Amino acid sequence: MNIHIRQLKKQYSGHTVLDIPELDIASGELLGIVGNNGAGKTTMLRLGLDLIEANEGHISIGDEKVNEGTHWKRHTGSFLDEGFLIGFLTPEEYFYFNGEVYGLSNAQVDEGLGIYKKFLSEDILGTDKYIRQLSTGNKQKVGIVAAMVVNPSVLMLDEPFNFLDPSSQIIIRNMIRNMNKNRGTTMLISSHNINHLADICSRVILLEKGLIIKDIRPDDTVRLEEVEAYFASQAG
Amino acid sequence: MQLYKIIYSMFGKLISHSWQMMRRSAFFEKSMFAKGFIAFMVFFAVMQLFGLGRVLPVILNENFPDRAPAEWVYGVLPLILIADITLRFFIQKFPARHVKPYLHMPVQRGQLTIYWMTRSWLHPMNIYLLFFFYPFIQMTINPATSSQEAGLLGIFLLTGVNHSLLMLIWSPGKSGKWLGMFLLFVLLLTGLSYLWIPDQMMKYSLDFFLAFVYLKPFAFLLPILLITILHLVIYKQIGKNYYEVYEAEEKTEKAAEESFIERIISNVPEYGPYWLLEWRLLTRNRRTRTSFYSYIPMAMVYVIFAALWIDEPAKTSLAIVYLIMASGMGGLHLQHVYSWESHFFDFLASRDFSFETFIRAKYYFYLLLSGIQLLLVIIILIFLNPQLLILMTALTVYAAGLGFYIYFRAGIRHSSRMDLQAKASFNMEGVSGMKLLIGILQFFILLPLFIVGFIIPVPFGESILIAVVGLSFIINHRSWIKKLGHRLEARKHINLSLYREK
Repeated sequence: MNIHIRQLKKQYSGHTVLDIPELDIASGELLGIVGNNGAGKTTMLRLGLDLIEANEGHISIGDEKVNEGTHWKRHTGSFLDEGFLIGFLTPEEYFYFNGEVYGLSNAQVDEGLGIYKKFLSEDILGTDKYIRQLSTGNKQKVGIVAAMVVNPSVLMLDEPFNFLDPSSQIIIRNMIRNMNKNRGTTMLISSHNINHLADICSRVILLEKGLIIKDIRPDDTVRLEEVEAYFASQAG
Repeated sequence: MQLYKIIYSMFGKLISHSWQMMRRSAFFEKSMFAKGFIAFMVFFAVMQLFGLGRVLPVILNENFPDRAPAEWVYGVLPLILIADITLRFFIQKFPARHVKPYLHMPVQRGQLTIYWMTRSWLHPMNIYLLFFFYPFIQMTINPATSSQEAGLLGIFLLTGVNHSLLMLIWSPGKSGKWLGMFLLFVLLLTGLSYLWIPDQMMKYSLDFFLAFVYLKPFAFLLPILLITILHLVIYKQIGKNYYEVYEAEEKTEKAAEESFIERIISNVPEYGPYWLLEWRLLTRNRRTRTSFYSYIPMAMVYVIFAALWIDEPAKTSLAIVYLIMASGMGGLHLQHVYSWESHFFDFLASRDFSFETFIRAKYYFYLLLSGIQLLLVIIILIFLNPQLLILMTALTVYAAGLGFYIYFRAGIRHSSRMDLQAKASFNMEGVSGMKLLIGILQFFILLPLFIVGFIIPVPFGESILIAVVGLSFIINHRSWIKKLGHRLEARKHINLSLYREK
């Protein structure tokens, strides 16, 4: 499913936090969004999920503007932060409820979870713990799996590598790569870590103070080095 | 039909989540003792209301025989509603966090809105008055000529208007708030009318209530119509303002500036930095801020109530309730002593930091707040009821001495990481059974003091005795704070590991 951004602007108290005149993300593209804190990554994803209102412009998923309909939600999986989780449910209950709202039966959810069993460590499934009792890393895993298990056509994840141990980071990289490759899912993944994104993304945009200042293909190593040089210069 | 089924099924699911949320709340993770104690306190509060409803007709009959008890109570319904909505302002909030996890899911926002509004009704504030009115109506309304049930339903509907009004004001968005503020203004104006035309107002109010018990349709229609209109406005307003749930987070908070009070505090010799930290902790977090700003005004309202209504025999119950108020800073802050710092306890523990000075600074800070509270109490009582001055002063001193000591002592064993942004009022998070028991020791100690004070043949014996106990702890604070500092230092590692576990 394509994603189109047109004249998108978000302001708070007159201060522009995101300004994207035009951006097209092709169906099946795996777009990495990289930037420093406050660059506008989360704002962009929240606008993409219609969780906040744009001052100008719009984002479309497929042919539908996200702020004008809800059909796109059936095809979009997402996890941005803990606010997406329902803390008083167990992970299993959350997966089933999440599956239900996407029209999946419990059996289908169970089948889907099979793929992610390795990622969902023993501390998560079958422990009778509520989500609120899980560690931050495990909460992150539950949120990511819930977003992926519904087999979405579009997937949006905010900082999915945060709070995860090195093994889990490698597993999630593979999960994202496989899903994108096998199902052709269009993906928007934000991260601070250029290397993670360079490894899996077919395209990376660099956001700075709400503006896209670079739009590159990671196989272009020269330009990736440029991005690293840019962050190094920002660090002084 | 299919659509109805889908909507019904999802709505039912959301409501079942509400039940799960309540059933699985942190409250049920407490020890059996804590659960039992809290359940007992709730039962006690309900029985208090029930008992009040039962004895009030008798009291009113004895003290004000010129009017029937029914006239007194049903004649001041607008004032009761004003008191009710004032209380709700502190306690009831629009349950925004309940819908947040569903916003990114393919759930119809209309369904979410209806769930949101329905969920808001599931609040004890919507039934507490019935515990008072149920026995009161039984005692004052003749079932042979009128309907007691209809009277109760009438009260429920009237408080339902209050609920709807408050939800409109708290719900996201601004467009409908004008209507809410207007209705609130009308309610306040109705209350103020009692100052000018009390007899007429009492008659109107009584007639309106009697319309319920005589089953006059307009009496029911009016609140039902108001509730319906308010809910339609809320529905429309929420629909337009769903973005606010997330945007509130996105908006950059107002840049922190050093206020005038902060400048004064920071210049206090020796304790300046500690006080500044405490002040910012209280004023920059939702939970601490709400309780910090609401407790002194609540104590003042109670003092006014006590000064006007409470007579000599009710002194003991006055004392206990006022003690909760007087040590309000304890109840809501010191009850969780050091727990507010649980989020940065690692910072405190890893620095060259004297826990003794830290506790002393904290104690002086709350002592000062108690002093301010006492000053306001004295001003109120000089005008309204000077007879209560000595008792209230004694109780404040007692709370600031023994009461604070008990809270500080119990806090040493605190082991929960508190959520500074959680709902503020009546949130018992982190209160273990043992801590609660230690915390209420001050109330148990008060009772024998009252008895002994009553026996000794000295005017204001009990007040003097209470004050002496409190004062002895205030005078000896350096000694007990030193011991507590050592204890906290010794327990540092246990607390830190427990914070990390929970």
